[in-house]
Amino acid sequence: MECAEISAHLSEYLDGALDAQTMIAVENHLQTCEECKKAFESLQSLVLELGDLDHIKAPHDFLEQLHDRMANRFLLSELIKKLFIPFKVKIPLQFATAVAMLILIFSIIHTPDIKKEIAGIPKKGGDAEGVYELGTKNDLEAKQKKDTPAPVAEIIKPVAPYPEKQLTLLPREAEPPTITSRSKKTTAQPLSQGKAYLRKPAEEKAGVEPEPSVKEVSEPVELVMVLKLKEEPASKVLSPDEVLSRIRDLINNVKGTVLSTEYDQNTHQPESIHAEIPAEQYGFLCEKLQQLGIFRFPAPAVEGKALKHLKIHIRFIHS
Amino acid sequence: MRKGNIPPIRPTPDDAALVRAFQAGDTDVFDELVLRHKDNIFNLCYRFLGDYHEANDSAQDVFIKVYRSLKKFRFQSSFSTWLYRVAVNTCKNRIKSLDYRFKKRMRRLDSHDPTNGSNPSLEFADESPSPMAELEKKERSLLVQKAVESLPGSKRTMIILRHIEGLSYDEISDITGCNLGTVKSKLARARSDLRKKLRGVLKNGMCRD
Repeated sequence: MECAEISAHLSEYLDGALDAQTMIAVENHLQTCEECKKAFESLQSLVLELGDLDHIKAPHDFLEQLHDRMANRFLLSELIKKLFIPFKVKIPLQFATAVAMLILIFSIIHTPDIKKEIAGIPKKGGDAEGVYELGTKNDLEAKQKKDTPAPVAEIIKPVAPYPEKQLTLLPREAEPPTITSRSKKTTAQPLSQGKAYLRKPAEEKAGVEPEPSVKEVSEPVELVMVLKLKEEPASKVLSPDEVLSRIRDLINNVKGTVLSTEYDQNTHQPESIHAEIPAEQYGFLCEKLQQLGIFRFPAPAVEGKALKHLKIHIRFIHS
Repeated sequence: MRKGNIPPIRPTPDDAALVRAFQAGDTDVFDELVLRHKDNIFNLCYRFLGDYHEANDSAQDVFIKVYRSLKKFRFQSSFSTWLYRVAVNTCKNRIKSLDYRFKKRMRRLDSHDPTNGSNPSLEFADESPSPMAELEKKERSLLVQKAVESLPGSKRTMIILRHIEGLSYDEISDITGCNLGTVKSKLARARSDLRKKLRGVLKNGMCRD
């Protein structure tokens, strides 16, 4: 046998796992070959070293530790068993419960009133009658004395059968009062009964009742804004008609339609204007209106609905 | 027991009898099985993983697995062979786990290393007579342990089962699922690798005549 062949058998030779013939051949070779003998001795030495390694014992409390771990694991498995087994029954039930909870939460969050509350917009119902409860002049005056030094006294009346948001304009230095909204839809009424009359654009132009608008209005929301007109320098005093004209221009610029204008019966000065504008132009219009006057309250926010058009009612306060 | 009566000498039941008792519903006998094999399994785990805590965790994992599966044991091999098989697989999986690799890198200085004489929790089966001899033995043990740990999985398994646990080729074949020829050849290669790794150690007075 060659040394390479012997070398391959050394491991089995060491363990006595060779057949008798090979065993004798290896033994004879080792007696004559010094290299193979050294390799065998090295292997023997290795085996002895491995055999001399200490036998590491388990800790004394191994069994106790094992019991603790098993108890914990079995507690967990018991819990899982209680929660999920039988899988075919409990998993679908839990899934259904989770879905129901999600739907409930989703519907609560997306309820319009709650959305308004979240967004800081007054809600339609119940407790939002503040402004309308201030239906008497004395009440409102009392409130305004308390709230602001500026004597802006207005009695807000519902105007249109749409959900409205009421804002009243104050001088900028004054603290804005709480935003309120009306609670019920009411029929349209003139702003100050017996003192005002309505004129629609067609009447103004030709004295003829205009055709009803054919433009499709998808649930328009009517917003009431009260605008206190700015006191311009004496040289640039704008007459009420000029202001009205400017506002009409603005409405026309945003592709809106002036529905009607209210005038005071005694002074014949414009009191308010009703218009319909595209919803996306609402912000732009508010900005422009602020150049002419100051809102009693911040411009009402438009709800997140996909509104196409808005009806706005701008009421003027002449300083 | 009445006074004066000599308790009957009951033969210690073998593993198979304990397993049958367990399967019959006497789960308390499992403790006896644990006490019988815990040291061997612990030593195997320690030699595989090289860390006392890891070995402890893994050895416990082995017995937990065995406890869960013991009712399904069909006596196709001896209980100890099956136990070793579970232990080897548990250790191999542990070595593969990311957690083990991370811990191996970050192995704490206060790890319970058998070479650390200040570690009170380790118990050696024998004691060296002199401190110098003890120290020398520990150093050699550490080098050998490191060399064994550096072997790849199957070679490490062969060395540990054959030389540390002292199992026969047939038992190793049963545990690993390799046939006898494969066991022999893998063991020969593992020894050869280990001899190369420990060449310096074996030459320096380690060769035995």
